[in-house]
Amino acid sequence: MSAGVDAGPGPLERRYRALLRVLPAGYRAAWEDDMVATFLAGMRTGDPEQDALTDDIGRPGWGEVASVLGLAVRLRVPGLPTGIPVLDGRPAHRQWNGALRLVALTGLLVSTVGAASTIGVHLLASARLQWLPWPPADLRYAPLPGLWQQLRLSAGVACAAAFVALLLGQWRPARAVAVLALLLDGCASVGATVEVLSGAPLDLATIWFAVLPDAVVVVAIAAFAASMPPPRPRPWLVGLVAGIAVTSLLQLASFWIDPGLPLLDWPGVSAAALVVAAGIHLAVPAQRRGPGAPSRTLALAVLVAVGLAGRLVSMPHLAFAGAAPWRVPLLLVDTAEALVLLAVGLSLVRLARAAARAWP
Amino acid sequence: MVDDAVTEPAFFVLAALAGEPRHGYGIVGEVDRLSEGRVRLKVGTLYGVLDRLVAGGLVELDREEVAQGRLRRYYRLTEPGGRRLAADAERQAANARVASRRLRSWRAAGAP
Repeated sequence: MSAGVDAGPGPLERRYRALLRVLPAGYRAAWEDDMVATFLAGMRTGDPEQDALTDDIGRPGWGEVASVLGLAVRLRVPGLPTGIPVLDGRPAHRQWNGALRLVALTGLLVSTVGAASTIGVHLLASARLQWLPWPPADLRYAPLPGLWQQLRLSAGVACAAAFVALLLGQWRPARAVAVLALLLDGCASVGATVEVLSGAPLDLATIWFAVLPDAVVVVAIAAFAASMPPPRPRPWLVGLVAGIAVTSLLQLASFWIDPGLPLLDWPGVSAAALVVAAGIHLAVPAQRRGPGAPSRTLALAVLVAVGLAGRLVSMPHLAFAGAAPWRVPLLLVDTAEALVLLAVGLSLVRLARAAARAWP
Repeated sequence: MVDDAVTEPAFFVLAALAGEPRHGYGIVGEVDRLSEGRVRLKVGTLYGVLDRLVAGGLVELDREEVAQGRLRRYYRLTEPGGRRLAADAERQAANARVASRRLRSWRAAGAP
């Protein structure tokens, strides 16, 4: 029962119901009328004239909008802590919670590797490290130009700080810094868009897509709670060092083979790493998989989905603006990467569904 | 790896319902009063908490009434909800006792 008077819902009620449409349909069916009644009751002052004016021109405040949007995210993302032990203890919730924490750590690890290897490669290739004998003068190139590239790099540094905070069990500071990284990447994308409008031949789709992994990390970090023990740092630090070493070598090798050839771009490196990780995970026999295996399966499925989206987003620019004669070979390589990621992703989804059938 | 305590908004919602069954707006007002203005629940936050408390069996629907042409639902605390509230209250009281004892020693030792 939603209509207050014979005239039907007023403008304020209609505006609030429009806001509530971000919530899942099933949830709205159960709670919408109750929420509307509580919201409207909260907007009443007791003064009929003021109330009539509020009904006419009033809107949900920013705090209310934020609370409804936050609720929409919470309802759609499984595994976020509810604060209710009997709900947080359900097997499906625990596995999704573990998966989200792995996604947060992996996303931050990848960003940290990217930032550290970029800084290292640019210091090296711009001959800033004078005590090293190479690179030869004809292979040196300038450090990062442009504000938006520096903002992008700053976002990576912020991700590194968030990564360290998570390893230390400080999830609240980690989330705050991850939000900062998201804002920096957003500003970088805005700056790049301005350059494109001025004629720069940049791949806008890939530049804006870079914001998505940051947003995924910000949501996934919410899976951490104060009472959870911090992750074991050693495997992540080993992954960090190995990732920086491999990525730096690949960047240098790619540049020195041909500076104009994007032989190994970031989506390609990510795709390779994801395929290797998923391959190792899928190769483990079922009877040897530990209790945390479903979380790893779910986390890999999420990461593969993001990696696949990143690969697909980068391809149109290559198709229309990539340098010939490399355009066709690179498109073939990228298409192969996307197909492999798709196959791996579907295998992970099948495995996750099989595991979920065993949950009470 | 599960948070043992309910969140602060959930704690105050349980406390608000410990006195008597209330509807949504009544819960918002009571939480504001109990927390002395520290916890001001937005509707989105309140119903996220209520949904979880109902799903967890800590709160249940008491009755429905029509008021000013609108359906108004009242919620009440369940037995498990009362036990959960009591456990959290005792945990917070024990924490406060520990802190108070330590503060007395600290002051007695001539703290600045």
